[in-house]
Amino acid sequence: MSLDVHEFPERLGAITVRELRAGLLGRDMVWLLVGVQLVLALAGIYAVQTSITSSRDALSIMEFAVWAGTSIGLAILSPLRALRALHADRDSRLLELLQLSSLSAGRIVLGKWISLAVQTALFLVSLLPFFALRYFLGGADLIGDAQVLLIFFAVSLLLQAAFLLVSTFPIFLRGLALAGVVLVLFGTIPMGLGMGHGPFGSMSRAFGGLGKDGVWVAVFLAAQLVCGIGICLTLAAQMIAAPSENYAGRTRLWVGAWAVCLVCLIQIPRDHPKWGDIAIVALAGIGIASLFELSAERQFLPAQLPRWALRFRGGPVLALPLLPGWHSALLFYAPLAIALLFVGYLGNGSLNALLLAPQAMALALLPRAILEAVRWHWFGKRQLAIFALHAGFGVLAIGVGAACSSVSGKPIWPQFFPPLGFWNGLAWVGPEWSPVSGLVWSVFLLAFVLIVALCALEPALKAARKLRS
Amino acid sequence: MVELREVHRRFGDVRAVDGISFSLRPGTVCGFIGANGAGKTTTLRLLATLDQPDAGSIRVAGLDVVDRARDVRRLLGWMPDNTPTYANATVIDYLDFFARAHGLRGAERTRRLGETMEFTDLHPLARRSLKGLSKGQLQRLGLARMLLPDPQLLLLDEPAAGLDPKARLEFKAAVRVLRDQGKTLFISSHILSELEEMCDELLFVDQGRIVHHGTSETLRRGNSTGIAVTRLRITVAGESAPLAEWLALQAGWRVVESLADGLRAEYSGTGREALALELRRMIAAGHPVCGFQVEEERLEDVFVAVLHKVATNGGNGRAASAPPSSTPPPLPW
Repeated sequence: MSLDVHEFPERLGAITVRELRAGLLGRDMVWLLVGVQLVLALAGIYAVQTSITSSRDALSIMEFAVWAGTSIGLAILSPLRALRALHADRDSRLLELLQLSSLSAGRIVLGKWISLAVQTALFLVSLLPFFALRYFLGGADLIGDAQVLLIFFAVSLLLQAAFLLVSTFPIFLRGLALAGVVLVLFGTIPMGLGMGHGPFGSMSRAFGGLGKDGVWVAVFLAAQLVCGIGICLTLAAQMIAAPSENYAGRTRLWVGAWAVCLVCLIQIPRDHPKWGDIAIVALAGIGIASLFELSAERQFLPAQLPRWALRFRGGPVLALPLLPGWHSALLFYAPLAIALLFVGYLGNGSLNALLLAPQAMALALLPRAILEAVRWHWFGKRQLAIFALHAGFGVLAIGVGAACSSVSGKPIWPQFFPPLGFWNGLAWVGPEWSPVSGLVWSVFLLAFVLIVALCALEPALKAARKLRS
Repeated sequence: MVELREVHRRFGDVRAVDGISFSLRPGTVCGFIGANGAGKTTTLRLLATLDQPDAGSIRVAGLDVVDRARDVRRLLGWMPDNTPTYANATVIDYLDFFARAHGLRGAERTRRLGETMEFTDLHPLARRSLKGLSKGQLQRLGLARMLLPDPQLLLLDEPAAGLDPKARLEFKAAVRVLRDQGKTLFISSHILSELEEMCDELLFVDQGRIVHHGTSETLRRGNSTGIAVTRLRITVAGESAPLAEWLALQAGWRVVESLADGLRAEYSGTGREALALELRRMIAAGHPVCGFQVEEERLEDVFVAVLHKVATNGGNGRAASAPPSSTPPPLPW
């Protein structure tokens, strides 16, 4: 019997081929395509009929239909499909069988993301005829729409990578993430539709307003998008990888690239009214990755050392910041935080937003540092103790923030999460904001934690010596 | 091929593997037997690099499973107790996926697919959806998947569980062929009689510890009290109670259990002449004996006796050893 198994090129990965074979036949994909096409076709017919009496109404109908379909497909349904991608394989133990093959966790995750991206692109292409139909109903800016669609598609890819990461979480956290994001998406997307393509339309128009700088902004934002996808995918790989596989190094390299893109981005005009918001949103990538990594307790294994580190003396020490576990993460994120701190101080205006990054990292580490320093286990529930300490600092931060507000005479908000407010509160020495004390506290704390981390790296150094010998 | 030394694995307060040590020669078929919760699956998963020991060392072909996990995985095949599948796939899709995952390309992939499907008789089912496969067909699928990269060490966790008799016979035949090909098989089960037929060695585990490693013969000999005992199944026409009462008064006899059509008893003696004499005595005493058959001691009974002995002795004379203090912390996920 002939075995016809070569309908996909050999260069495509196993996961991609599998997901394309199964995904394209899956009921959800079929229903999505057929359902949206049907709805848009009906909307098109209705719009054409309406155009006889009022071309403006016909265009509005088609506008709403295509953007609603695009929003639902790209911003909601495609990411939700990513949410099931990994946990189903893990729960069915298929992931274990894949771990025993030559597929690494990174290739598994990448394969799933590529197949989702291909299916999303297929969905988008299926909508293009309906976008074109609007032109015949009264004109539409197809070039502008293409730009918005491109941004929409790019953000959808990022959302899919993020949801792929969430799919590796336990069910409780997956449910929380799902509820939170769906709430936000369902809240903003319909609102955005009424305001002319929503936030993506605004973004597209904002680029146009920047002139030549808009090109560079687009380039660096695109680079950050790529870095964001890389961070999400490597974090997801880290979550499903076998203990001997090391993805921490790759995550940190992506974070480093993200930070470089951020610094380049903010060199471009800083007086744009939305600039501070963009910079603060861009910081979120570093914050999210650092929170993940700085709370990870991972066993050190000699197999995690990269091969290049064994080739020369001093290699293992150089490789230490790239190993899994919060100790090694500290060696990476602490210098990054200090570097961003100096970049922030060298700048002005919205660059001060960069000061939030080191403070956020320092505060994420504070409970960890205390735990490690005093060996405080709290009935063996270390994770619970970490959360409790964070919560405790949160309450303290709100209290200090409120107290400083009354002293300074102006409101001091907790910024993004409570511990930051604590530091910002300390930084306000009067009616004027002075970052000096914040800087002093941050450097002091980072130095303290560095000492703790270096002591804890002893097993890593021993293992490196053993491997080299 | 395989060597475990003082391997420990703990889940909280439960010591799933408690100082296990054994080794397997290449080309051996070893049965791994224990009750539910004895530590079989944990041991197999440690060997398969799907888990890490808290202490001790595990080597496959001289490679440490923790330090050289990637290299070890190239040598082994793993067949869990339930074959995991995924939606919207046929048998050929499933096998092709794993063939690609194992790095098989082009003509080599087609060749290996054909060979493994031939071996497991899956050609007629190539285009069948995975959803419609029976338990036995899924087991063959799992076996084919495991054999795709041609591994040298095969780890099978309860492969015959839930199979009908025909499927079990087919599985035993497959094991014999794989052994003849020089592969090393490590099969866990709690069905002793099947393993006894297939396996060169038996490894008994209880509460995470090895209680016996050897053949079924050494197990039986090891369980014996030093006195030769012959187990017999005696069938009578009518009630067995009179015969049981008579045997209880005879020297060297012990009634083990009553059956519907007779009884099972042990006679402390061997040799055909002695047994023939006892049979003549029974008939002469007026008992309607119509069947007199020597039975080999059931392995299940031997195993239960061994466990009882272990429990009575407080665990085969060896104190449970705690893992060394350099045990790494448990993973949080």
